[in-house]
Amino acid sequence: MKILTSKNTLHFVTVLAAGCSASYWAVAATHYLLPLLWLLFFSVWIVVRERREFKNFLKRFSQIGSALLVVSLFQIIFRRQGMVIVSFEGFPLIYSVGLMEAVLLWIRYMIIFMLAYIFAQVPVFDFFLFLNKIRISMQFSLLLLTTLRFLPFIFDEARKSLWSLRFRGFDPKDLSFKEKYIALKKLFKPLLFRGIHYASFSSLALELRGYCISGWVKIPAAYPLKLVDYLVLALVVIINLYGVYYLTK
Amino acid sequence: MIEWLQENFPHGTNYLIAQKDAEQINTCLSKQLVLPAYAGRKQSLWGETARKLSITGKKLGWVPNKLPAAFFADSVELEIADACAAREGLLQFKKLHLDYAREILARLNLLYIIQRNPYFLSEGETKLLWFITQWVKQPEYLIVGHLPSSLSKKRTDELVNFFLESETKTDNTVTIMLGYISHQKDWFSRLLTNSKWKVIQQLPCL
Repeated sequence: MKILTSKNTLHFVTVLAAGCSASYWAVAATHYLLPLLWLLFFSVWIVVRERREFKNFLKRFSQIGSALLVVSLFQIIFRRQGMVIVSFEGFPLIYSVGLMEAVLLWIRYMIIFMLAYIFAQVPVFDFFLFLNKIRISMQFSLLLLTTLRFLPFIFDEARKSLWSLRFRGFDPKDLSFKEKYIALKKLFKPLLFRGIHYASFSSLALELRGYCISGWVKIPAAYPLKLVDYLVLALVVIINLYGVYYLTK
Repeated sequence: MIEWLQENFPHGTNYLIAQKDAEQINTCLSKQLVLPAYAGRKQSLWGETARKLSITGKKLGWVPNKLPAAFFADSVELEIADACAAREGLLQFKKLHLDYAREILARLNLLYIIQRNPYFLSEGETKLLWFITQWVKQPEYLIVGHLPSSLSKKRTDELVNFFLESETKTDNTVTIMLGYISHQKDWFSRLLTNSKWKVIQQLPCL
């Protein structure tokens, strides 16, 4: 029987191709156009795919964007090459190279954050299937996936512990520094204990199911590229070709 | 929420509240206490709702069937001692708290789990431990969603005895609220004949 994968997400290959291309052009580009094009591409991608999350996305990215502006500002201050764009009473303030580097740096970081966001939307099972289809050894893929699955588990457990602490009548914000340390110790120790317990049981469950007897097991699940994947991949190829043409022009 | 309880359930009497199923009261409380702290993100973890939980937690004890909480200590007695210390606003317990923990475990015939790690307890034992941690807080109200869930008949009877014994003590200030399902009357029949227990036929909406 064929297991169905999630219908509403893009294929991991599509995400990977877009991610690799964008990373390359974000680093290699010496002009605004291509990085801006990729930034626009990912913005549209997120807006179209995650309509419900758009408000959260906008808030988070505006926070990151404004934090990155500070980093970019250093480029403007210390890169004093090229044409003077802005000056104050004869003193040159902003140079063309400094401005361009600042903008490019900002775009590069924004692309990285957007890519991280997009990669985080890929379901763990789809990622596992992708690794399986390209015949990656089970030992490696399961280890990687257990690590990925571990993060939400730890987050949930931490939330539980925090709830318990609050329900006992303690508000972490009202505690003194010493008390905060004690509370943290209280939260951390069982968290670590439960984490190890979870990991050992997951490992036992996998062993009992016969995983890792052989290096690779064929998982009976179809993971085909969909129409939307082909469209996105075509767009990625077009932008890449345009980039090569622009670079060699 | 405490104001609402004070308004609808005055102190001095304990309450038996009818419910459609074993989870009705728990679901209602979960919506008030757990969901606001779990749903959403940063705001729900550190915002005003989360801050209110610590104020409510001091005055309210709640024993659900499925625990939304975690234990902190390595053994049952240390966990209870910790909860005793929390009642006094302390994060670290003292010898007297440990003694009290042993005493209450002896009262409930639970000395055999005294050194066990709370993480490895059975569902019923976990519920009993959580119940004790809530009891030692000596909250204004102690709400038990459905007492017999996960517990044997013997254990349920022991707890009912525990409630009846506690009523006779002068220092007891806890108002107990137990949820029940009307067709399972055997476990609380003794409470019905007690003048300090009042039956509420319908759960007032929170």
